[in-house]
Amino acid sequence: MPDALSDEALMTRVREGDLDPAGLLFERHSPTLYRFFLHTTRREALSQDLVQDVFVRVLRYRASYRPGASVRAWLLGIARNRLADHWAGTDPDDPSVDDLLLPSADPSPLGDLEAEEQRRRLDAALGRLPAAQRELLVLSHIAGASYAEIAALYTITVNAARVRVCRALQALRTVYLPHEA
Amino acid sequence: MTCSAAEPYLLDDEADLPPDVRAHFDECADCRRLRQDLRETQAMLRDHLATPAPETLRPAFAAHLEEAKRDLARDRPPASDRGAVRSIGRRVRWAAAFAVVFILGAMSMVWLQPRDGAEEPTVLAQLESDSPSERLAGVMAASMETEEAPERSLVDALLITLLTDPSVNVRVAALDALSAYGDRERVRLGVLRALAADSEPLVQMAALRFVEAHQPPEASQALGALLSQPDLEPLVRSQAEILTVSI
Repeated sequence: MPDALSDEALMTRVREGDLDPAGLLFERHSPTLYRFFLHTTRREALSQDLVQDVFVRVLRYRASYRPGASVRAWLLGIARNRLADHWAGTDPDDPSVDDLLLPSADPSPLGDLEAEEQRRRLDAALGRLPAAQRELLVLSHIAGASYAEIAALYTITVNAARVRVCRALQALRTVYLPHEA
Repeated sequence: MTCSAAEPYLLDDEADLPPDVRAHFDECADCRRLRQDLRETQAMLRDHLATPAPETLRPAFAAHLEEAKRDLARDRPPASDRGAVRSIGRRVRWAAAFAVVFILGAMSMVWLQPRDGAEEPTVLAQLESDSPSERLAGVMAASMETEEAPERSLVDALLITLLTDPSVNVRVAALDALSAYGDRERVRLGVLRALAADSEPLVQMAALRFVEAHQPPEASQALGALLSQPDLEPLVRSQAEILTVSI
C-alpha cells in the first residue's frame, strides 16, 4: 500500500487541486533547493527568490507532474531550468559581498575559525569551477542527488553521471589544493 | 580491468564495489590514491557546504500558497510568471524585515523605503578604483551619506572594501563608515569577520570600537578568535578582554 505521506502521494494530491500538501513538500525540499541555488549562484537573496520561484512553478504547472514519478527529481529538474533561465541573463562569475558572507554550516555566525577558513577556501574553489561542473557537484554532494537522478536530469547513463561527478571532483581538488598549501 | 573502466566507481563505498572493480583498486596504486583523494574532497564538500536554509523561506511560501488557493477557489488564471516572482521577492524582503523587527527589534523598516541614489555610481566607482587614495575618497564619500537607509549596493561595496582591500587605511575608513549601519545583520557579520581575520591592529581596534558601540550578540566568538592570536598587540588584547567581560 503506498505511503499517503510520501512525496509522490502528496504531489499527486496537489496535482488534483488539493494545494495544502504543497506546504509539506516545501518543508521537505526547500532546504535542498536553497543549497543548490546558493552554491551555484552564490547569492543569498537571489537563492531565496529562486526557491520560491520553483514552488510557484510547482503550483502553477502541477498538472504536468506525472503521478508516481520522483518528486525530488522533478523539483531538481525545475530548479535546473530556472537556473538556466537565470544564467541566460547574467554573468555567473559576477562577484558579490554574498561570496564573502556565505553562512556557515555551524549555527553560530562565525563558527570555528579554522573550519570557517577551510569552508571559505572550498567555496572559493567551487566558485572558480566552470558553471556546469559546479552545478554537478552541488547537485551530487550538497543537494544530495543520486547518480540515477543526475543521469535522468542530464539525459545520460548512470555510468556517465558517475564519471562526470568524479571528474568535477578532480577539477575541484586541482583548484582547491594550491590554496590549501 | 582498466583504470578507465574502474573510474565510475571511484567514489563508491568499499562494500558497494563490484568484485572486479575492488580487485582493480587492490592492485592499482594510482587508482587507490586517486580514490582516497576524491573521497577526502567529497567529505569536505559535504561537511563544509551544508548551509542551513533561512527562516524567511517558509512564511514567504505560505503567503504565496494561500494566494494560489484563493486563485484556485475563484477558478481564476494565475498572474504571469514575472509578476508572481516579483511579488514573491517583495514578500521575502518584507518577511525578512518583519522577522528581524519582531525578534530582535533592531532593523528599521526605513531600509525598504525608496530613495534617491543619484550620487552612488560615483562612490561605487571610486570604491573599485585601483588607486588607494581614490578608494579612500570613495569610502569618505560613502561615510558622508546623509540618507538613513542607503542602497544595499553601497553597504555591500563598503563590506567588500573592508574584507578585501589591501590598504589598511582604506579598510579602517570602510569600517568606520559601516558603523553607521550597525543595525544591519550583514554589516555586523562582516565586521566580526574582519575582527576575527584581519591581522592589522588598526583594523582590529576599529572593529573593537564597532563592537563596543553596537554590542552585536554574535561578538563573543569573534573576540575569542582575536584573543587566541599569539602576536596580538597589547592594546588590542586589553581592549578585547574588556569587551569580552562586558558583553
